[in-house]
Amino acid sequence: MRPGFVQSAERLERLPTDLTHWEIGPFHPAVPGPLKLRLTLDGEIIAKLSYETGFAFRALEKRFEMRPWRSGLPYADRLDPETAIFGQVAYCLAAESLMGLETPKRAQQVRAVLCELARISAHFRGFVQVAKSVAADTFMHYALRDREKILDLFELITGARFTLNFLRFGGVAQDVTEGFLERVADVCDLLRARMKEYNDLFSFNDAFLGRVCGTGIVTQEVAIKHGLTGPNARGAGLSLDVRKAHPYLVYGQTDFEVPLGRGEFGVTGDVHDRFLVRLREILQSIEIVKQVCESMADGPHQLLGPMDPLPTRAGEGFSRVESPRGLLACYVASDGGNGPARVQFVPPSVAALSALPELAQGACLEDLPVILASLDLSVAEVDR
Amino acid sequence: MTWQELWGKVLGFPTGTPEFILAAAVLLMIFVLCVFPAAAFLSLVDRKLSADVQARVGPNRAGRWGVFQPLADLMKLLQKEPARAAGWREGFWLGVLTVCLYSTAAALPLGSSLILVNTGSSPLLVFWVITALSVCLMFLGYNQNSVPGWFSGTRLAAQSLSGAFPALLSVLCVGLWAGGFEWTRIAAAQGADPAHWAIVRDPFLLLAFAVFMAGGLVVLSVPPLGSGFSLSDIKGGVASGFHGRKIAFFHLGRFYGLFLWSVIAVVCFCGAWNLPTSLSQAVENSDYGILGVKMIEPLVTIVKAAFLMLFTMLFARVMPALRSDQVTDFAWKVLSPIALVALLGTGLWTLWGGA
Repeated sequence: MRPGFVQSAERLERLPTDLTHWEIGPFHPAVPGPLKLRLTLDGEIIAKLSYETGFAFRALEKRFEMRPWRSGLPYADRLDPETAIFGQVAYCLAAESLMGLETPKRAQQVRAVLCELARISAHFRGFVQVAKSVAADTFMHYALRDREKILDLFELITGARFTLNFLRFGGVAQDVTEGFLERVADVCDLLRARMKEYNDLFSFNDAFLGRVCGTGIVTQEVAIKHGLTGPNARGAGLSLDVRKAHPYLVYGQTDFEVPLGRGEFGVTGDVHDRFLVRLREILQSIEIVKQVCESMADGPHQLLGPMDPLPTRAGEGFSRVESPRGLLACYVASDGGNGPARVQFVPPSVAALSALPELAQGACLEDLPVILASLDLSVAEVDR
Repeated sequence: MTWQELWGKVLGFPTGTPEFILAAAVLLMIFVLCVFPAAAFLSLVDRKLSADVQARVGPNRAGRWGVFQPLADLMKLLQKEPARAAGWREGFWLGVLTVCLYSTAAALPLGSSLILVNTGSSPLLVFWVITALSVCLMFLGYNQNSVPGWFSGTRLAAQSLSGAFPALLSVLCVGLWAGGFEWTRIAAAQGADPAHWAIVRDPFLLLAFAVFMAGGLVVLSVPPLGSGFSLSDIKGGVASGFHGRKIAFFHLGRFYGLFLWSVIAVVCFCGAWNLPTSLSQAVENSDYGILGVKMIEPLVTIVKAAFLMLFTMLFARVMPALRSDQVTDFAWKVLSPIALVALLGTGLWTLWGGA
């Protein structure tokens, strides 16, 4: 044997050819935001995944503490810009419980309508991510087209399409504009019809089922271990919905169902279950919106005027709301001063992200974007 | 009338012009008059139709209804300068692409007078060149010098080879049925009337046609049977680092692969360039004569191929993409057995005089 060959063979033996290491991010089209993923690959199979966050840290909670109560409100929108209204609802409910404010029913109903519309919009955004991950361009455009209808409604009532900044302590900034409720009903009817189109085109498409059934399975044990909530937990069959368990706003007076994953085409808790749960939640949101719009109460939309002093006092307030991504909790503490002494959010994406290494382990590399999209993560609320 | 006589007369070359000069002129003409305009037109139609399907506006700025959009895109891409130096693998890809583009044009079966090479191995030459076009894309992935680049390149090569096998068996079915592999023989075995197309006259050839088209999606990596060309690199986009002139060449090569595949499908299964007898006689008796017939033949082939391509493109737009291992599984475990059945069936059908 030639000496050079021996040397090459020895070198080859010393080479760590069994596992490959690859870092993705923090800025990469496959990740949902500034997020770094460290992969150890065995061929195309993910042997290990770890993640690093903090690239979008904005000291958001500290900003609340540095400002008067009312000035902090727009920052609650920025907790997760995609589901902006939920940050404000959580913050307002927590602050109102601390201040002892009783919001008028009409304001609560407007808040509920906006929340459900935002839930539909956020789920559409989630569909876009899933469609992108499996290169389904047409469905992606359909979801974006329908999401625009919701954003139009936001613009009609708040003047903004994305970060609405529409809530105030003790109510909402404006009453609903003329014709708004009728237009909401029209959009709801349209979206209900579109759901069938989605199912025909995408939900039960064989190629899509081949990609998502049996992929990224969240078992009930995994969901409980990582504290998953929202569609990610409900996809695993866990019936946990804050709107039912701890009703807030007017959810206690509305009739709706909580869709759960049943493993209809694959395994309970797989990507397809999470997709279907979100799809069915849109139908439930439409139901809630219609019920609330039909029973819209007369009366004021705000308890306090913009210049009225807030009844601040020393103490603590706490709220939990069902955001499109799961349970969003907010804690506020006050020393009786002009602004909050402490504000803390517990967003659902933190738990979902913590489950990612377990879900990705053993999955094919090509499935990683699908799993990420199905978890519907918001890096903005993780880093906050 | 041989192609040398015909095209010497059409292009105005004097008698006795060396054959290689004539061949070069015809090749240039095929590209300038057939391939480039077809690429521009079909890319525009694809974009307009897919925009319509996807509830978008589509190109509407460059000229009325955006008709000059392909030209505008080409101009833009040609003006861009490369941001980084090309590696040797990229050069290899470009070399293979160029060789494939020119060499296949000689055997491109657009019409009876446009085939410069019409031997028993002509279909196989074109066929394997298409496969080479796909496999050489592996080098583009490797050129990225990264983990996803290596994955994407290897995935594409594996997909191409897995799809090429059943597609090759489908072409063998046609040769078996027609009694030879010359383009003219395959065309002569069929007629202009759809009732005389190969897919109607032999049920096993319909099966072979389905396998050939599905195999084409795999070889050319068209969704739902592959999508590894220009996606984000985690999913295997060999062209994810491409831009400018190279992306123009890349898209041309990709279009040419699909065009070639569709032309082969038309010639082998869908009546080739045959014109209805009444039409060909009417043209032949007119002032245009036999030259007129020879000019219409490529048009018939291109129009049929365009329909196949548009159908494929629209299908690709609405379908999600499978994972690469699912694609190779499908090609080896589903398409290949079906192709073998089609080959066996065609053999028996031909043996017992079914054709």
